[in-house]
Amino acid sequence: MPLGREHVLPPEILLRITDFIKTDHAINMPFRLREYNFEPMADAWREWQDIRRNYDLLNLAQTCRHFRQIVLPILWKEIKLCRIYMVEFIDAFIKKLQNSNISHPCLCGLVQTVTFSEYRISPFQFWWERRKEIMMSEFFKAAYRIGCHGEYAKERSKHESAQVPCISNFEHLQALILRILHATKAKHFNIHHDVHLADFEHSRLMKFSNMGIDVLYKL
Amino acid sequence: MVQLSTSDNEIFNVDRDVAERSVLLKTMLDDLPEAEENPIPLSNVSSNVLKKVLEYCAHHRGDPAPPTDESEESRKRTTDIGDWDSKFINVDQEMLFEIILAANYLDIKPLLDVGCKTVANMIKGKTPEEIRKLFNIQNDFTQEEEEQIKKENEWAEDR
Repeated sequence: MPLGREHVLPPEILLRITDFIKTDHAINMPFRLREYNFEPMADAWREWQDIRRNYDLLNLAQTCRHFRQIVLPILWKEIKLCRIYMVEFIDAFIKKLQNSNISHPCLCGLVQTVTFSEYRISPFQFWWERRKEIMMSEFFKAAYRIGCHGEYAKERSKHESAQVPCISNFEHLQALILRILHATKAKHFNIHHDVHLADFEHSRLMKFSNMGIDVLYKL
Repeated sequence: MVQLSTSDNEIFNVDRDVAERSVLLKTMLDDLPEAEENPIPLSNVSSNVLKKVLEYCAHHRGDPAPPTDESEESRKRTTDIGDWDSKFINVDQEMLFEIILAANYLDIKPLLDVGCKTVANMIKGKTPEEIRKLFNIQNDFTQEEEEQIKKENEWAEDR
């Protein structure tokens, strides 16, 4: 693989380089497929910035066949779904997983979920609907500005009456996990608990083990 | 003193503790007593690259040995490069790759990491086209493949 005008870096060195490009070895649900509470805006912003780091490997995978071959297994080694909320986005994501698994089978070893939100209403729905009209950086600025001026709450209450399909109970989560496992052929599913998952207590999660799924979880 | 012979037949006289920053040379010196008496041939390393490598080894001669565990997380979690190392590795791209290859061949992990981190930092934040231009990578995707890749990555595009 020519990297540089006259030199060939062997795959083991390229892998080492990719180690430093991206450190957590996971592909994340992109920001726009997520929902956040308004309050931890700083966290959400930071997380969005973190997601942008993943583009470096995605971009590298798009330069040539050789890099694609090297980088894709890293990208798909783990799949991290963060703050999943709306079912329609999950459907799109699972479709993507299925397609990728067809073109690059057996790449995914671990699916990891972080924060399955129990919120029924998207606090950012107002802005979500306008996502194509504004840059994501502007999205945050706008949402923050509105929050600062107390108008955010007004917008939020407007949307709180809307019923959005969401992951609201254990059965939803179970069905989703099964679909993702089926799509990715992953052998492990790692669930990170947070306050929103308080209902999914230990005994219920153990059901996955009874179903033959290796579930790792943190309390 | 240890003698090292480069691919362009230049001989370098090096202190043993400097040479031993290289795991390859350390193993040779430990296992082969005659290695100390005759120049050790380094057929994969040219004199100008070895000079740089030895500069690094001399500067770091007193450093503790790097951890042997490849999966050591702290190594991967940072792309920070120390001040001296940053200045040291501020070389043209061809030399950078030569240093990486030499560090790999001589098994000098800290130097290999400095080189790889530098390349990683060069790649970060760049588009596929910019990366291609930077490293002279030939785009060997067909039009159809490019379309397919674009489609595959649509879901992750926020920009």
